[in-house]
Amino acid sequence: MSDSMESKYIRSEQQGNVLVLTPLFTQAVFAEPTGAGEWNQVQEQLDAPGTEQIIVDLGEIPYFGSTVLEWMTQLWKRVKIKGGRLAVVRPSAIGREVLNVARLEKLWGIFDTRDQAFTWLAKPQA
Amino acid sequence: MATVLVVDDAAVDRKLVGGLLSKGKDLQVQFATTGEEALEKLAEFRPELVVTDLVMPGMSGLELVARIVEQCPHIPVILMTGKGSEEIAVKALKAGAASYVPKGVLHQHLLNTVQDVLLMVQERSSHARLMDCMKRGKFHFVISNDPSLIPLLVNHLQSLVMSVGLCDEANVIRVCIALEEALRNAIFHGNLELTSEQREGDPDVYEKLIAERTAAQPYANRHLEVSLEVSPSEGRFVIHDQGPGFDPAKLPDPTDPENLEKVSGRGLLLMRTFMDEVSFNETGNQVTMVKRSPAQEQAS
Repeated sequence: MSDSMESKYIRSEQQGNVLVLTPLFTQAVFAEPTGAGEWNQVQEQLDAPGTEQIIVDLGEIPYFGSTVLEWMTQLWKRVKIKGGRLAVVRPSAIGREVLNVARLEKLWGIFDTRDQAFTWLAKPQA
Repeated sequence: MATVLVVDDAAVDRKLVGGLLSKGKDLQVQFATTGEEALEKLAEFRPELVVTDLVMPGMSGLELVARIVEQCPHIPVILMTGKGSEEIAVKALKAGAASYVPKGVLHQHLLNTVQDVLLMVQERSSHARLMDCMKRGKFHFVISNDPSLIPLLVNHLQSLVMSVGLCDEANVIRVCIALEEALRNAIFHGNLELTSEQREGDPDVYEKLIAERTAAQPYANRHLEVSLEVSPSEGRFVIHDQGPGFDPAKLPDPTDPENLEKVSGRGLLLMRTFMDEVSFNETGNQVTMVKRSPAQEQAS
């Protein structure tokens, strides 16, 4: 069962206890008036009792910099409080490079497909 | 003479589209019956334009758009859509299709749309030919604290770096990431003197703070000076803000396990990773970044 919603900057899908977020931005959108509203909306979804894990699907953006990393770190911190994890899927080659440079593979799972991410999230944490 | 590749599994539709396009001046039409065959044909010859059906057995028109954007980004694609597929048409445009024409109005609109897109391609190609002749570029921009100028400036710099042939496409993207980081640092941390802690707080409060500082003195009168010089061997980018500056040596290493969980602080890391040289002036309000061509980098 999946509920989905798409706004200017983010597509969100709820699949069971996993919130799948697909950013549609590469710039610092949360420094724009409409961006903060979207961030508040995402926070509400994250804080909902049904959400325990996050998948960030980077397949729609060819590259990104620290803005997207900041955004994902905020998401991760929010879901970590609930004991959840964050998986990143479908980064481009450059996107994977950015994640590796920042050593974020130490905090998050990074996968080529959503299926791999769902399997990882379903496993109990080590 | 422009060649248009028409992709449609239905013979009757191929005939219809071929007939409509044959009325155009200087148009030559080739056909493929599936997305897979279209990709094979693209490997054999380079049409100026592809017109494809949306719904086909095997690879869909939407998938074909994505593959063409990936493999031959200079070839525009026009999608022919059936009734009720407007949502998919929007997706196709987002994926890189140049335009779409509903099948119900092919007679009225297909030829005009094809000619408009071809004209756009010709203009773009003429500009690209001219830019190919550029061997050195030197520019100086003075910009306000308006972040919406950042992507415009980065796109412009991207086309300059590509035009002089400084580096391959992947490295051009790395340069763009570093430039975007440097410009954002200069506006938000430099001119507006906003801290990482403020940025990590409530987004509504942060937004208000940006708006206040953008309008208040001394921030409002500050601007950025961006100088760049690109040649086939080297790109040199200098960004100067009018803030008080900072000491880059005092910034924590974001890859240190202790700092890994911090929300911000990775901009400078990306700049240093993706440029060959990054240095600051003594005040810390001017950054100079250098990207060398692979040959130049090897020599140095």
